[in-house]
Amino acid sequence: MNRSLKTVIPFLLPFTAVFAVFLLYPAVYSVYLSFLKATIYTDLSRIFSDMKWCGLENYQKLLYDTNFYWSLIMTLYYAVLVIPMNIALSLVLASILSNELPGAKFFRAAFYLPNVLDLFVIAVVWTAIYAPNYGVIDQLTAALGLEKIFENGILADPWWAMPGIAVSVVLKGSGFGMILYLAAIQNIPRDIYEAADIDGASAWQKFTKITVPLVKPITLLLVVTGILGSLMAFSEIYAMTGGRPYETLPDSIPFFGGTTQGTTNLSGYYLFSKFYVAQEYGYAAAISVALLIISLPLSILSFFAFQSEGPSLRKLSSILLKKLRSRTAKAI
Amino acid sequence: MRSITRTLMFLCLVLGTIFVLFPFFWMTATSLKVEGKGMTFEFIPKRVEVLGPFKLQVGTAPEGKMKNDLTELTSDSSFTIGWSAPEADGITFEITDQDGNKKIESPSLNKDKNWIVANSLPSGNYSYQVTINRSWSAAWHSLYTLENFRKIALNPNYPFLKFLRNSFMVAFSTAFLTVVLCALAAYVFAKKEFPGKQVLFWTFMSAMMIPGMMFMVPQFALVTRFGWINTIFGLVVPHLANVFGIFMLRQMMIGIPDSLFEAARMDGASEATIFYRIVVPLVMPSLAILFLLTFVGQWNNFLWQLLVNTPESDLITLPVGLAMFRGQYETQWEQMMAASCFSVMPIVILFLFTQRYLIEGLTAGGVKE
Amino acid sequence: MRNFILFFLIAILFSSCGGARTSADNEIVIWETYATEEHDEFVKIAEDFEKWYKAEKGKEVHVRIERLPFADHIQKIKFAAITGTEPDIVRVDAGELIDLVYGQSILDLNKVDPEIETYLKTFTPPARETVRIPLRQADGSVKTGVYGIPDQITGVAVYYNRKFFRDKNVPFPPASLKELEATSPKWDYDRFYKTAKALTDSSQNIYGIALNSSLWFTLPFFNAFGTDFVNVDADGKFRCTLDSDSGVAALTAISRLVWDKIEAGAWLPGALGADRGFVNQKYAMIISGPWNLKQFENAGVDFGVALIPEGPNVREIETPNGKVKVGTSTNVGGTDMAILKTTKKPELCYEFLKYLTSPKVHARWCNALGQIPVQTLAEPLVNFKDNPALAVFMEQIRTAIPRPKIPRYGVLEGQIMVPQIDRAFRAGNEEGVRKALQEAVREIDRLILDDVNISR
Repeated sequence: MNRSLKTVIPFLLPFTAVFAVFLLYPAVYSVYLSFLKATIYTDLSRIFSDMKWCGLENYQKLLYDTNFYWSLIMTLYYAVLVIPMNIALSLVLASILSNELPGAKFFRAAFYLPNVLDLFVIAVVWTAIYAPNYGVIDQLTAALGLEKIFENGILADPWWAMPGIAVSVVLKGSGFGMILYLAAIQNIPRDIYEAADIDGASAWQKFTKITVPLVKPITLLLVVTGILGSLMAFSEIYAMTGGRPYETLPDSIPFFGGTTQGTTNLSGYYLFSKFYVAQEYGYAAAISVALLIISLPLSILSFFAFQSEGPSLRKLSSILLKKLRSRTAKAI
Repeated sequence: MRSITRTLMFLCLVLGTIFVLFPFFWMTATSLKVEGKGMTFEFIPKRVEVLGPFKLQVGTAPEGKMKNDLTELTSDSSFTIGWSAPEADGITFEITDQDGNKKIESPSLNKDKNWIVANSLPSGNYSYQVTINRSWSAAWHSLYTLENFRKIALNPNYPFLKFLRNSFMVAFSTAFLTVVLCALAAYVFAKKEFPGKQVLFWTFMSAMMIPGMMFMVPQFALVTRFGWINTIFGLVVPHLANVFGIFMLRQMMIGIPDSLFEAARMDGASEATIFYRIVVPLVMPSLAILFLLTFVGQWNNFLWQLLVNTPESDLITLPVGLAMFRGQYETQWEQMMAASCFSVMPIVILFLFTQRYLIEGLTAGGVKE
Repeated sequence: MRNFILFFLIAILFSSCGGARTSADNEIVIWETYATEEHDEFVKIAEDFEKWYKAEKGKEVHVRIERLPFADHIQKIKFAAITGTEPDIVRVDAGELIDLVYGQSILDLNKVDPEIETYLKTFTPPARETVRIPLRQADGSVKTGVYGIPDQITGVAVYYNRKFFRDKNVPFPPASLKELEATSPKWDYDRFYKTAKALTDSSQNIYGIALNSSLWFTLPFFNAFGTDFVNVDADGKFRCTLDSDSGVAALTAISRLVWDKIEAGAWLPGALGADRGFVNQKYAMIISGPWNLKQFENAGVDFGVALIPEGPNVREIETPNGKVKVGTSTNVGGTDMAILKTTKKPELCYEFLKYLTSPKVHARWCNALGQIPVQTLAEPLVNFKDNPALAVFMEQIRTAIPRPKIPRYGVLEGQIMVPQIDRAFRAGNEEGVRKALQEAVREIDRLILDDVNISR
């Protein structure tokens, strides 16, 4: 026991130290903060020492905050759009590019490239693509002699603004998933596909019966990071719509009836506006605790699903390692 | 059949590439445009440019002037109509009266004589039109220029080269140290048993689920207390505990068969040797991915870098420098885009190098040191 | 691997050049922000001040000018105030200063100079008002302090494309207050509507007007209709009265342009914005400020600048050419210089601010940067002859009415007014506008005034 600790500590200590100081302490402090309250007149230089204990007041306020519930629904909508689209596109790109097409290297680089571009530039360009009348989409439909699809452009349409953002986010981010899938696909032994060829399997069958199951670990990884990413997404909203377009909901809708809500107002963006714009630190902390409580079971569930997929992951890894073993043996 | 599907696939890829690279193209094109053209939809230079018709009232001074317009009233009834376009091959003027009858049509004048005197007209309302002819190269230069990049690189108030160095330093140090710290910890979680392992691991993992925004205030307070404002420590250290990195690397390391370690131990290798000689080479592609992700993340991390640097800091980074340059209104659109290009290029170059390494490292199974 | 380590060592070497500096006894630090081209001018003035101070007071001082990105400048200053890393003086957006005042970070200049109100008398009234901020006291009374000195002012007016006006034979709108008073028919919202309608040609994608759906860009219209935004009642409580009849009338007057498709839809998220549409010659009129003059000139647009149309709020305005009675108005943008409470050299800071806004220095600043003077004594020294368009803005700003003096401007704009103005623009009738403004008032109470009106 003691001996195992001794060997483990030098490996663990650096990370744990940074973690304790810069993540654990701030996290605990955030929870503490969610029970405190400052007034608008509190002296900024003493804001943390002058905050008053207010018990569950922030949580009570949150319980009746329709904007918060709305942002959760929108986040769910966003996640449902982005995660499947991202996985589908990454996988399709990866399986196309795993074939030996001319220029495959170039395409890989090209599809990954948007990942590293600044969001400011991306947002400006997508806005230009979606813009009404002068936008790329509207000019294309006009050139083809078609009717305008969106009266005021996609980002101004309460139903389509979110899908519009989702498409731009997926196209920016799918390159990362593509690389992960590509690595996984190229490590599936060719003889499996050859065997399937002999059995007369079609390309589609090979894709669904061999490729998809064997890259499941990557898929699950993308699901987990997708869930967490959706709950914290804010920069894409900040850069593209700022939570707009706003809609006043009809009275017939239960709970939200009569309120005005941003149709792209994600919970991450809502937190940002409370924390950074309004600087209501106590309330913002309460929101983040609530988000934590929501995301925890979701992520744990995904982790367990991930864990149960262990066999296929191990299979993948062992295939990968079979190739490497001979070389590493030399290295030692 | 097979070749048709392949051709179709190829075409789809080409179209997709054009689509995803459009932002990149747009940014570059704008950064190369002359001042004032960046906001327009003009991409192809025009050889023949028609301006006007402009209103001309003989007897009164012309109202409102455009840039390059030299039109002026020289006496009660005589006008000098002129247009300055030094790079043009020829300029023609055409004056029509109210009923659309052509009154004066100037011959194609060369660039030294780009004006005419309209003194033979009775007073009244006319309109005139200017046609500018350019050679291809002049037309090109009337729309595109490298001036924006020169201005950006030499701007004394915004030393972009220094910002670039700072950004590189911050992103590189963070990415490198993150990889080191995560690899060390992930190895232990993947391959060692010790008391409290599960608890510690899940504590780490749950931090992944807290919105990053909430760490900002306490982290900032800590950095101030440590006296790390305007230092590289303040910019780098708070981001080193990358929980996602541990998660990803652990998944990769679990797959390494234990037999490898046992063989090495029998040969008398120490833990450090095993880590450095076996684990690191085997998960190198994942380390590279983590490095790239962290590098890109820190390269674009505006908010934190803004907070930790006071304006007099020597460590101002590119995102903050760009924001400083932006000002209240984005009037220098072309220079903004040139500066954006400036910030994107290094990372694109880094990517082009690492992506080859990533993909080949993974696919060929090669371990390169 | 070895290369990586080498790289890292180099990186660490580089890092040794960073480090915090502390300001010396005779030094003040100023964070300036806003437009980029102002930095050089600031540095020059600081150097001149050092020389002047030495000659005048015989003391060596040093003024350090540091530039802050305009994006997020208020958050950056707040964070600095929270951790005690703030400078001596900050330049801050005129609407955002209030937040710092509520956060007890700004020095009331009455404490440095009891005669400060007298000193401010020579400043143009709308600019002067941005630094006079009422604050609820512990006893429930409201006291107005002076929390800075205005150093820059902007506002908006109407930019119009002359070509479109000529093509449709529409007369140009008036460009000075005298002209506005004399013009017939009156340049009011009816003529504004008709003008915009005449210029619209939707088959060509050309629109008479392009609007922004933000409070800041809508304030000129509220002001022209005489809408009071916030009042203080007998108990010293702040009350929002935006949903009054005049408020509804103002918002209806411009919403009509949207409802009847005379407006381009530039306010919609993702649309071609007003500025860009104007440069691309798609929008005949836009509401914008002097910061766009150079850009539009460079783009080769044949444009003119005119005053905001007249509403029912007709007032007497003083101009150098005598008094006029007009109903036009604009909003107030710009910046104020504020001294932080924590400074150890309040007197020196105050000296610098007075120097910066003294007529000669200020006139030089305005001439160099093409800005409108805030110090009326500087007006005779500022030359607008080469810049007739700027003169229009100068005229327009005489009619400006300051922004509502309540904190959390970011929340007011982004989370309350933008949604409700959007709603009014979609509403299609006056009843919808009224409902939007009523909800705006409720939201202002919930998100801002309830926190302001607490007993302290």
